[in-house]
Amino acid sequence: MKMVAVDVDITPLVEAARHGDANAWDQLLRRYQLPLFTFVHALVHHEHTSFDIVQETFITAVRHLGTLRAEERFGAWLFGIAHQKCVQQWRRATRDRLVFDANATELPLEVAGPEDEAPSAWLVRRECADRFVSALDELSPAHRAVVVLHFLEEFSLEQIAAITATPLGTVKSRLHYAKRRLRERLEERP
Amino acid sequence: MRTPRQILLHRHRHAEPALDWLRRDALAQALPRVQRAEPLASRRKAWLPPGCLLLWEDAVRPWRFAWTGLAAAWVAIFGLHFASGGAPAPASSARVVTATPELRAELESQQRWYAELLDSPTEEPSKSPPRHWGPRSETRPAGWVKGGLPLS
Repeated sequence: MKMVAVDVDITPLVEAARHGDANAWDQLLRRYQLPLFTFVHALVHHEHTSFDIVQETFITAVRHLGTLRAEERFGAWLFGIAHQKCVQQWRRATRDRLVFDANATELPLEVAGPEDEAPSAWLVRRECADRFVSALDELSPAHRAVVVLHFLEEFSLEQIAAITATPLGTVKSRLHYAKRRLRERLEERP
Repeated sequence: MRTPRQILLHRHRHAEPALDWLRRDALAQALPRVQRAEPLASRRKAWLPPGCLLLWEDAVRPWRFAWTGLAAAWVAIFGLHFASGGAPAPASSARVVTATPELRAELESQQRWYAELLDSPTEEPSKSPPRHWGPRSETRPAGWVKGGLPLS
């Protein structure tokens, strides 16, 4: 299966994109389209809405690339735009009722352990893949957002905090809780 | 064994053709605007305020045919105006009326009448006695007895 590499240096592409290079833009967006769609779909759980949000994210990114200060942060910036659009979508859907934050059960910060475990260190047996996905869907959107960003793009905790506009401590506790919950579900007997 | 990333991406692999189309569509929508603005920005004079380019790109350029039509309409209006002689039409309030002797006499009688009205002696307000500022005992009438009727 062809996989999109996480650690490709995108800085030259972003620099070219700043000058309106269509080819650079195409490569950049192609690099992020599937992870971005996966992230958005994990949050909104609706395919057509996810396509709409990804398209809006691309258009916003092309038009506002000037606001990006550091080229190497392009990925986090793009996911931040998508996250904002997901929150707007929730607000529209729930008429300003923030289910996103209401469903998030926080752990005290001191309970959250050190998250030095790399996402690639997580290995799931093939037969457990469906259980992993359903366990992910059972998490609250806030926890899901954090853990999907962690697994998909290996963003640092600081980057996840910036993308989700959440304090760093909250991100740590959410990630800790989400990973623990996923591990518990995977260890359950079928 | 697979990583969570592989599981998540594999789950949405079917969406890739749609995403390819969507990416091209988004670029077709957004990129021409950026590409137009880029050479324009490089040509921009140093003295030009930064908002001018944005105003040109957002307000003028997309509606350039409407602006051209509006300008043509104004040119036509001015052309017709100057072709008709260019003299301003007399306003109704600026009409010159020749004063006839009857009208003048009527105006004079009205002026006299107003003058009489203004100069007519009006009834003077009733004059109250000057107020005395001091102890009330000094203003009591003569023969007044405290706590009883006057003696006389």
